[in-house]
Amino acid sequence: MKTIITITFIAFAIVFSNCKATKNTSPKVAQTEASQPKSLAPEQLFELPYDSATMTDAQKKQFVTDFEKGIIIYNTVCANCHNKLVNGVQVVPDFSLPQLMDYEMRIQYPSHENKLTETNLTALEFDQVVHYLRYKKKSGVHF
Amino acid sequence: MVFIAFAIVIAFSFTPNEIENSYFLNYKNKLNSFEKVESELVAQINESDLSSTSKIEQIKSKILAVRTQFKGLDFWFRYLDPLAHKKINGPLPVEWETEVFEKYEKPYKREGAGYTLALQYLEEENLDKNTLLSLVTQSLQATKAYQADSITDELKKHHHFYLCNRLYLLNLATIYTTGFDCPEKENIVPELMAMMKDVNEIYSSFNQSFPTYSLNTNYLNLYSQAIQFVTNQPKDYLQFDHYNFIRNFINPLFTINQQLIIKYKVYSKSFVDYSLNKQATSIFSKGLYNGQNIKGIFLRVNDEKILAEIDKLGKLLFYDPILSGNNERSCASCHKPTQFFTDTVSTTSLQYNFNGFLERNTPTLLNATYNHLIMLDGKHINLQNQTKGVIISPKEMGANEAEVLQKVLSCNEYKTAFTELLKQTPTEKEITMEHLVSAITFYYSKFSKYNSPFDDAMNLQANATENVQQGFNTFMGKAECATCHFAPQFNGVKPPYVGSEFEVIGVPKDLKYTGISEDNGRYKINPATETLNAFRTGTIRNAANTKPYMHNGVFNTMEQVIDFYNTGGGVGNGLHINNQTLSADSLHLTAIEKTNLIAFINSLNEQIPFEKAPNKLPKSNNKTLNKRKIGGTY
Repeated sequence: MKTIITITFIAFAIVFSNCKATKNTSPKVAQTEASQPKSLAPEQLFELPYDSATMTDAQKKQFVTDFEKGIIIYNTVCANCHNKLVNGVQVVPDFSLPQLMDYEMRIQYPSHENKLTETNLTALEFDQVVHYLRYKKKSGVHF
Repeated sequence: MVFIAFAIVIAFSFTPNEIENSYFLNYKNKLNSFEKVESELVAQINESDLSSTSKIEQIKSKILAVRTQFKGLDFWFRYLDPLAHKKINGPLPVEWETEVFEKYEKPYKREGAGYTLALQYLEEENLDKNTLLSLVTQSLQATKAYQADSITDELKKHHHFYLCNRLYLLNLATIYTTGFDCPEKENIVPELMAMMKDVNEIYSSFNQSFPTYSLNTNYLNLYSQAIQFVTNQPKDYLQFDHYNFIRNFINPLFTINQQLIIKYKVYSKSFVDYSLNKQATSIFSKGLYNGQNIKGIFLRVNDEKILAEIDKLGKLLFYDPILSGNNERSCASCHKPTQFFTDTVSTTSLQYNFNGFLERNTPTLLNATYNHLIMLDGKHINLQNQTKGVIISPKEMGANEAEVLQKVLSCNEYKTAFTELLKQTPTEKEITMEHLVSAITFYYSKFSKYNSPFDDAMNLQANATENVQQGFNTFMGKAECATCHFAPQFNGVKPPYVGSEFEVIGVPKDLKYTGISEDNGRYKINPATETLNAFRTGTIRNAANTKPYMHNGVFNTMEQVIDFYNTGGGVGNGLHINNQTLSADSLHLTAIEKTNLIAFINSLNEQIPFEKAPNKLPKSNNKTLNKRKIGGTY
């Protein structure tokens, strides 16, 4: 009986939280994403890490290179499944840190099993995509 | 909304309690019973003073009983937590290089534990009880990991079962029958028998609990026949018929399991499956595991026309000495395509600008793609880095990247073609060395996709001669070759095919055994006591056509190689080597067994359609470069 009550509670919680999420996201996100001009330079698209003050020029340059490459690879390999269409605009969602578990992402999700093989995305490219998703400015759309 | 929530509650209420199902109970019972005998063993060792042979024998026989029980859980343990599994049945005292998931991770060292090592330890003199206790208590602790929710939750779905089974079948074809993790040869067949029967129980309980995802009758019938086959084998392990066991039972069972993996939409969440290919229908298929990325920077190109263009460019570059500092050496200078992509004439090749000879024999490029790490010391993690490494090596091709790129792009044919290909690599703004070396690896790797007559025999498309069959049985059994050379590549990559193994066999510097080869091998890359003189285990495919043998090319015939192993490697031939991993004992191979071994190795010669060299090389704007010869001059 206790189990049934718990399950009922969880079920209601899931149903209501989904309703809430659906109502809240769309308009705000569309505005955020749409307001970003396509010609923005990469440095206007990312948030620097908390220790950026200590980064050398070479590290900063590498940061930007990896970010730029990460965008391209994301668009080639990931965007088709992960981008969200909000008010007619393609939005790159925000991934949480646990969702960006680096190479564990290759195996944690069934949909990645055939798409994120090493013969489709190298280890270096993988890092660059994670780098991009980690430091990109937030779109407000949660994955 | 209320209706949906109510429906969910109803659905949950009427779902059978999966935790109580027979499959799960089978696991729990076996696990609890195993923990119990493990605890009994620890208590027995604690109570014993190890002072007499009979007391040691009592412990030994208890360890054997624990091992046999463990074999009934190996099906699950090996797959569900490979690291804990190694604590229970680690084959080596120290695993100095672990299998790493992504190759750029640094390898690390781990102390071994478990019952195999405990049995080996009991053979030593002056036994220390604490050392023995440490080996077995670590196993007991590791076993507790299998009670964790993260593992038992897996058992509530069908996915893990077919993946456990795949690994089990692969190991039946590679290690369970060779003594790889069972040094007492007389126990190999009894343990195999116990394991196969236990797995049969696992199959029955799984089918009861998961009728929608059950193993089919074909599979179960064939598996019963496999058990019968093992039951009927001679008691003498050396007489075990590995050939027919794998060919007629294990490989067909693997095929059915792969079909069921597809049918039941099985997916993996484990790095154990990382390299394995679901589409492969045979263990003896070149597509069994992914191996290296042969396309390099062009990895996502799948258009046949574009791939043909990359192949064409790769071939031209392979034969073009423009990649060397003096424009006189090409890849083909040492990896001669007419000689199975090696140099069968020179012991070791000339160094750049004729400055003496290289330290190592030229390895064949055939099947290089099926290695986890590249080069005999595992220096490189991918084929492209290896190619680049040779080009810029002052001892090999003596070039530098910027100059090579500039020279290659001075040829209009190269420049036009690579500029067109740049569209395929959107992350790159200009042509780089990566484009060049990726074309080269794509070109030569295509010659690695062909089968050998032995593959055809194992795939029931041909028959192997009696000599080949006997040779394979000797290879897997008495000669102990298969404890390092694992099917299907017969190299050092064993299931689940995510790591390269290195061995210290004591290769001499000359045929008179005046000393060990001075090449430190893996030690140069990962210095540790255990890595000194260790080399990556190579494939024996095409061995008949890829002499000379060993990293320094010291042996020129297969007979010499077999004699080297038959006499216990370097140590067996009087060399002083502290860390030899090969047994120094004689294998006592007879002349017929040696002949049969060679017959089997010859059956691994692949039927490769080689190509002629290009007729001409691309013209450069720099006229002095146009004097270069196809394939180089030395």
